[in-house]
Amino acid sequence: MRSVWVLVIVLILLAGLGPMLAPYDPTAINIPKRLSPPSVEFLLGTDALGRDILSRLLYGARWSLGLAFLISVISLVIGTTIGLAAALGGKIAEWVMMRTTDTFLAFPELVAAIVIAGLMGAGTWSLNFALSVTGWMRYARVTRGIGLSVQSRGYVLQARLAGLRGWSIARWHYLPSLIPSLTVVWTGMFARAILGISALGFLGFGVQPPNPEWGSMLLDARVHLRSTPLQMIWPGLAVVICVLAINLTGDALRDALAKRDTYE
Amino acid sequence: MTGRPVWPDLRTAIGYTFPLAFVALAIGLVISVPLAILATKRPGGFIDRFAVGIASLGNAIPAYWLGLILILIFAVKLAWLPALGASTPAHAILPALTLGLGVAASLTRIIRSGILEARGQPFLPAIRRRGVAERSVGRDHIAPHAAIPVVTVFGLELAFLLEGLVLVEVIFGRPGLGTFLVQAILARDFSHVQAVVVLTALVFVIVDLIIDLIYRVIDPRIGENDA
Repeated sequence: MRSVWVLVIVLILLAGLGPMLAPYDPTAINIPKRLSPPSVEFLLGTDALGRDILSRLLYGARWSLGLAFLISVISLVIGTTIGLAAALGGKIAEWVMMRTTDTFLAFPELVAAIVIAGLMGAGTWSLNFALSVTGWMRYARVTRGIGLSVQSRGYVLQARLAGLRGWSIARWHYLPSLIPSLTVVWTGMFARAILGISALGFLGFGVQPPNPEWGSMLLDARVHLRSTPLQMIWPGLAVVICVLAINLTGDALRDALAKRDTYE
Repeated sequence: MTGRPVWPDLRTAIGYTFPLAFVALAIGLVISVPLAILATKRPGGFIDRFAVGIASLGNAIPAYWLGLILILIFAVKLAWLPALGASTPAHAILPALTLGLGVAASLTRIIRSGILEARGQPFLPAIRRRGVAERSVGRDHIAPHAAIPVVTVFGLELAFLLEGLVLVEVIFGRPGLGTFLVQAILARDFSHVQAVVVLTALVFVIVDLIIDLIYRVIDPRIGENDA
């Protein structure tokens, strides 16, 4: 598992230091050098406008990974709040919250996100909104499930008898047992957000040009599949490596968690 | 807006999408079931690690990228198969393969862990000691147990498939539901968009219902308490 952690750290560093490492301005157009193959000058070649692909990939990491992080955290907050409200708020609140969750779950996430982002008009804000609003349901379910199982424990009853209510019980008695499971769900949703951002970018509904984003880079590259096939390999590879690293981290966390639970 | 009635267009699109989805699902099952069974013959062995590795990789590959790579290999370099359009059945091979491989990747992991978990059940040694044949143990006792988690994720699998379909149809220029949806969004054809959204939700809900019913058939313990 150590190699996975190394990979994750390298990816975070690349995304963080990308602008410093990038040899060129990712939006600098250089028509005479358009569609050049990988060379010493342009390590991964250039795109149809002569922009350096390596620089665009490095800057693109900020869009793809940064936005995915933001989206997965926003939906974490929404989902956990709804799940806690369902677990703590009594019968009616629970019914309303969980039926709302079921209703949202009835639509395939990415299809709903495509529709929302597409109809809102392309842009970073609508991309953010579309993926957050379609990504919170799993958090809500997990939170409510664990909340219900915690509810019957002695210490929660004790806290209630001691006069603690609502949100302080949530803060001190629910959150500690929620954090491990939510972290595992979060890694999965983080990976899904990366895939979602690049899928929307690929359809043209995501991050808009000239900003470098991996999905929209693939969209640009698709037209030149015949002449410069390599151009389409790089952004896809970047997505695959990131998603794989996050998924493996999530698997490792889940296994560690399962182990801890059996020893308890 | 095009002002065209929704249903005739939608029906044509469904005619392209549903068969593709079924073929993709079939490809996914044909690959994942034998692979998972082989992998669990020796957990931790070479085949097992290979299967898990391939499945993890497959889960991380976006459908649209895989589609482009398959186009690059089989349509551009080798020129064996057509890439764009849907005029002949041969046009469906690459899109179906793209989706099917994705389905196979996620199913393999689930079937594998389903079998491993079923293998660990305490009633198996008891059955074996009573002299039940090994074939029957696999077919009648391990398989139904392993099927439960597989059936559970089938709904998720379908969602995954629908999402993949949208992108794969756009890449391969197939005039199915995905292309229909994207074109309707671009044309601001709200009634068309609405039709696709309602249709996918409907399919989704019906499949979930069927799954819940199948549950009770393969695992009679479910639903005993809330009858």
